[in-house]
Amino acid sequence: MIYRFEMRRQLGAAVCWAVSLLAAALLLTEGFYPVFLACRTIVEEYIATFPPLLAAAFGFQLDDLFSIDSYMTLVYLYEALLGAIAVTTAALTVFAREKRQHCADFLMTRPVSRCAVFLRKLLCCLTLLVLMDLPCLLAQLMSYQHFQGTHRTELLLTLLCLPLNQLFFLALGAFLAVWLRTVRSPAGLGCGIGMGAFLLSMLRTMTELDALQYLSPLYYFSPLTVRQTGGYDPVCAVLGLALTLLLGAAAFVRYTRQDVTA
Amino acid sequence: MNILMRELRQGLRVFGIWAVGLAFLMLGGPVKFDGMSAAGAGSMNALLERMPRALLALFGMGDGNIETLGGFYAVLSFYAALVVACYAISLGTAAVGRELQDKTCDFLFTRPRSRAHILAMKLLGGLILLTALCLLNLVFSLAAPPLYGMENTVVQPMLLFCLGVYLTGLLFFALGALLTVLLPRAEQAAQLSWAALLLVYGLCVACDMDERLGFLRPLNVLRCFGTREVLEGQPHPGYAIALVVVSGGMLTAAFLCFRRKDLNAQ
Repeated sequence: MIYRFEMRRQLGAAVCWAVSLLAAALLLTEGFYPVFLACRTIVEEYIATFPPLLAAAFGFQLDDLFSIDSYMTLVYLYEALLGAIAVTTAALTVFAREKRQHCADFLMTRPVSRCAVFLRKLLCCLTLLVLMDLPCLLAQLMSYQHFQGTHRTELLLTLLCLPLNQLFFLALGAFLAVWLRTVRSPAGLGCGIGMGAFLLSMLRTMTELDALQYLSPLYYFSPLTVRQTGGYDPVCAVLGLALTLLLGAAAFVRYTRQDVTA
Repeated sequence: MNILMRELRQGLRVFGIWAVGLAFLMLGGPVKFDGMSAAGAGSMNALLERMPRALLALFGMGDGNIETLGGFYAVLSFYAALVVACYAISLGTAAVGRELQDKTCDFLFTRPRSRAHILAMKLLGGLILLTALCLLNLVFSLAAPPLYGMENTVVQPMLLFCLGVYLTGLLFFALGALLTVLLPRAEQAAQLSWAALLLVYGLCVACDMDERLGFLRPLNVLRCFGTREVLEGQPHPGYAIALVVVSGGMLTAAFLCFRRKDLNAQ
């Protein structure tokens, strides 16, 4: 019942987000990748004026720079921004619904344990996450085939970065929804958190400070690391998972024990 | 006056969070810049000049050369505009919608004050906080180069960029307020304003990548003044004036429509 109710309420927003993510993915790969490829001739002409040895070294890097594999890691940032906002907003809306509408007592007096309510809401958020991501990930897969990418295992890991990082934002959204005294606007808070995470990762790119990677949740599972080392950075991945579990557990404990005010 | 003081007091904590975020961005951003400017000079500059725009845009350089302090600051200032726009939306929607969402509008609007007066005080509170954040942006901008032992050679462009950030903030503030007045639920207004911001950001990225999209420049409100124009000392005031006029128009429309808004608790 609870699961079906939440799904019905959230389905419209989820479809909107799925379409936005899909449009962004298609625009960035099918739309801009050819523009990006067209730059190659200009760069090659310029490099041809270099001494031969240096030109050869650059030429080798160019293959790497202009490959679809490398392009995917650049596209990821924009997908991750949208994905983070989408899932944080969804989690905030689902978990703070009763708090916002002052109707928690109606739900909590039903013959269902609080634990069951929490788990159903969580299940709903996870379903929404899959619904939102699936079209975009499939489109990216197809673009990858279209432009003949080569590293298939790495592609899988790269594509999984988005949902894995979103799990952190789901847990954060649930945590805030349960622990904050009032949640006025889930969309506002969700966008603020997504933008904050985005700016943190931009700050890291600009400053190149390695310590900041632990503070940029969009890159706990980083496609850049997958590209460089063939896998996720173990410290960041463990940190991401640990934070996700910690926030989720904190939300669960509070949700099942808090005093419900009418 | 009571309403204004209350608005300012209520907004103080959130203001603190945004101010710390902005300080982090503006004071922490140039950490690496020192090294780049020292190693840079001739050859790298020449290479960047020849590179196609799409390639530079993907690495966040876009317009202008980030080897120079001015170009680097232009990139930082673009992100500052994003931060300020986010804050402005939350201020604009809260100024009109908070009482409705908290279901306290019955208590406030039965006081012996006109609706216009109450809205004016609330919007003034939001404007003061927005202006304060933009002034902090200016202070952080001016403080950053001396912090890293650099000579600030771009004071005038910095002032212009900060003004641009303020005008962008003003536009999103007015948009948030107007949409909250027009739409029946405050949450819808917040969603729509944020969607507008994301769309404008997407347009900015797209314009940077593809020169064919140059005709979309008027919609690119996150860059009030063109980077090159500012750094070359010839900014066009037309676009800035247009932003002020549009923001003013939206705030006026918000006032007019608020007189007839159905203030039901949500």
